[in-house]
Amino acid sequence: MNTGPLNERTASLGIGTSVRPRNFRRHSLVGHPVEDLESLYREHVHALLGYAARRLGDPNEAADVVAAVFLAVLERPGGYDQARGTPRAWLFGIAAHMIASRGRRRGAEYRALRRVYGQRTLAADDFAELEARVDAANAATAVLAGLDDLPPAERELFLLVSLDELTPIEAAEVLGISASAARMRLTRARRKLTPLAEGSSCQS
Amino acid sequence: MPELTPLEERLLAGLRQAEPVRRKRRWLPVVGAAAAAAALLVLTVVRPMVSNEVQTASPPTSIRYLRWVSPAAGANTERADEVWIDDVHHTVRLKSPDFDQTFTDVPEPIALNRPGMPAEFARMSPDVLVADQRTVVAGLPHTETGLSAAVHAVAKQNGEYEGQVLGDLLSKPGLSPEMRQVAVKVLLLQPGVGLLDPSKTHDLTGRSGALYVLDVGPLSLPLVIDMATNTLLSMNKDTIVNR
Repeated sequence: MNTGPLNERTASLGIGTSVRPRNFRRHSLVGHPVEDLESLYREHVHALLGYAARRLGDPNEAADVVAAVFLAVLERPGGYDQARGTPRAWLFGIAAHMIASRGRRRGAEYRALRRVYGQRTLAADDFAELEARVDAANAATAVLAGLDDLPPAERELFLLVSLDELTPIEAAEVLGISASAARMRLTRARRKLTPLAEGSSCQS
Repeated sequence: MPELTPLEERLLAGLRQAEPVRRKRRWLPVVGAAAAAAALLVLTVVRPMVSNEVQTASPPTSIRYLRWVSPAAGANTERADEVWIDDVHHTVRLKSPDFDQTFTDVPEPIALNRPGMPAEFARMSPDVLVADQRTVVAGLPHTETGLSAAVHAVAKQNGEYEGQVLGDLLSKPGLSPEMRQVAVKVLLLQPGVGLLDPSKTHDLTGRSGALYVLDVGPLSLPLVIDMATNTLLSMNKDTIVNR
């Protein structure tokens, strides 16, 4: 990785000038000795940011939640239990929990972006990048006629699978429901949406 | 592995430097201060009587009995206001010549200002049912000297006698066996405390204990204490005029 320019940029953000791979690289996930936290981050941060952006609709809040997710992982090494699902589902589960409890924990817990990013709000370029993803998520859901008519549980499950590209089992873990219940909800959601999608394609 | 965007790279750089948060227990001093203040407040409010023990050890049953005996207004007779507290079944019976009611499920403080409820009850035990009393007593010193100093300060601040404060303290729930032991020891060292009967006195529920009498100012407090567990079984608060 090119850390030279990175140093300059992080310094300008107030993050600091020395990038020392200390804690973040040191920890390993239980059952995933090879997959250290940095590779975990590289693997899943994009999807997590997309998920948080879609759920929150605010770039700063989305980045805050994602930073908080990885800080939580960092501060609890070994917190991942392979028996309880994939790392992706685990991370999404943490994010979902943080989003759900965000109103209650605002201020107390959510200083993550400042700790990680060096300031409480995103720089203009970064804001624009995430805002574009929020817009893209909004556009993607807008084309799905009838999505808003789905019950919230079915809607969220459908989006986790179709937009965030989780498997139904992973989505079930994120939502804390059984895999069979997830498959049932997913089938119901698709059954409701398919005629609408076919109808709109016929009209067009 | 997907390429990171600039934002994701910057977050990663920040994460590499992030140190685990050392959780500051900012609540500790707050809780400590609140507990001390609450202890003062409780011991102040419960002024005249109140009683009892807290049982954690075995022998005594769950019922605690408190009685406030005072002269009836204007007459040469006396009236007794009684509180029966059942810690196991969470019931409280308030009984007086003109009021007798049993409250169930009383982890909440009982509303003492309801019509018809004798005013004496407000000064008696129900506040000991407040759940966070356990926190209050947990914050008190656990040594004889420390507890003596705390009791002295409370008594001085509230214009009470130290024995009176200790009697009230022993009436609180949540006292650990160690705390009871210290409190009883300090209580028995108070001037004005006398042992009337070492073991054969029975409280109103038939439990036997040692009978002590604490004379403090205008009050006389007969205390029945189970010395095996340092549990205050019952306490009467008699005004001197009753004796």
